[in-house]
Amino acid sequence: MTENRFDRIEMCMGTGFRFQGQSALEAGPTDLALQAACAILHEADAIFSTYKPESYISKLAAGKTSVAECPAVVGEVWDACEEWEKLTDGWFSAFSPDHTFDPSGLVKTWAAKRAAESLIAAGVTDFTLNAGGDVYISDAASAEFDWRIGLSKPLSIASDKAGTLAVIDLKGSGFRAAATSGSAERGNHIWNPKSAGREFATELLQITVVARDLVEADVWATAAFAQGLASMARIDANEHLEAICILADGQIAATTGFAALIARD
Amino acid sequence: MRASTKTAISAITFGVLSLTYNIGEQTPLTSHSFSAPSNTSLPSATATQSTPGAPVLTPTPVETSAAKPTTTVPPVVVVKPTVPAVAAAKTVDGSVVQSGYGKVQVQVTKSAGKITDVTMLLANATDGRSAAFSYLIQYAIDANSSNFANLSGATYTSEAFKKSLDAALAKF
Repeated sequence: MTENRFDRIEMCMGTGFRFQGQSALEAGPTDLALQAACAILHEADAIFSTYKPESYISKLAAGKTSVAECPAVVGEVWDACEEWEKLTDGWFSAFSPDHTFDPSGLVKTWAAKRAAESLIAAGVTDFTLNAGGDVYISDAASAEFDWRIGLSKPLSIASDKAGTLAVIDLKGSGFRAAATSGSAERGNHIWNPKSAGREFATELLQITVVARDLVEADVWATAAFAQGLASMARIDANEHLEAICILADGQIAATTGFAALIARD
Repeated sequence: MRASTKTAISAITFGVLSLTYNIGEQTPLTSHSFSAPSNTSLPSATATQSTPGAPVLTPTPVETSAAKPTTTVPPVVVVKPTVPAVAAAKTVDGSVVQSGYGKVQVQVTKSAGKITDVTMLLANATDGRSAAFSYLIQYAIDANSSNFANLSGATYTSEAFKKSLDAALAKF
């Protein structure tokens, strides 16, 4: 750990984004780079929030504007959502049961990824970013403990029984991100995109997906939570993904390669 | 897809570790495998009897060394971690943040760049919410412990605590 260790929590999109790391830059430029990264998060929130009636995404859902009239990033996110819907065989879907475009499942990590890229471009390359429980580790992360991620038990962190289920260590692996989807913190909020109406996915209590990239981890965690246990076969067959899930009855299942990621000490 | 050997293996079966998870309790390991009959269509995993040879994981649930929160949490909680102080500790007060459940203010002590103590100066949250803060304190210390840098969990929202914590951290 160097003397230029930074730790910044930015509240945005109703959750906390935490940047921790070491900067080779002076404190001033480091702070400016962090501010620019946080501005990307807030800009994405202003455009994509479904909670803000004045956001482009709310106007789009209300039929008051078109994608062509929105900032270019709306089209980018729309395309990304379509691509992920195909890659996950429809288990990730950005269309609500009311058939409105709701990219909330993607926007948090999509914005976080762009924020991380902006930080790296500014010369701050050695850090981790915790986007409301979804974690990214930069290629140049130097601190041993930055490579270690605690996986939460499937309980709200407000629960007195909350704690860590396991700790994984991604150092030396090709993995750079872990994302968790579950019902513990926010209750049932992921619906089954293949059901006729608004039916919530309940087969899993929680799933953590480890991937090369934050968005990839997040989308697969959401898709797998929606699909349930059957998603584990698909994840197991993908060499770029590993996962651990907890079923509603308390059983834990993990992909073949997951055990190798568990921190042993 | 995985490397060719892996693809061949997954076409037959893939071993999946399995154990029973009970909230707050350690339970014995059981081993299961999920057979994926073919890879011509999306394999649907089905649980079968325990299979010798299936990879078995023995996760040792990581318990933090600091005091665990209990159900009877007083309004003001101090959690003492076992982080050795190697540099002079500095203590800073966070801002008072009005949440939907009352006022929240934290006091943070940092030593050698790490959070070593978080104290609730104000935690007059009602509606059972005060119990939440003890874990948030634990979270803040855990997340800055030497064990791991981050905690991955379903999206958390506890804004007031984090705002006050952030304000305190900004003063170091």
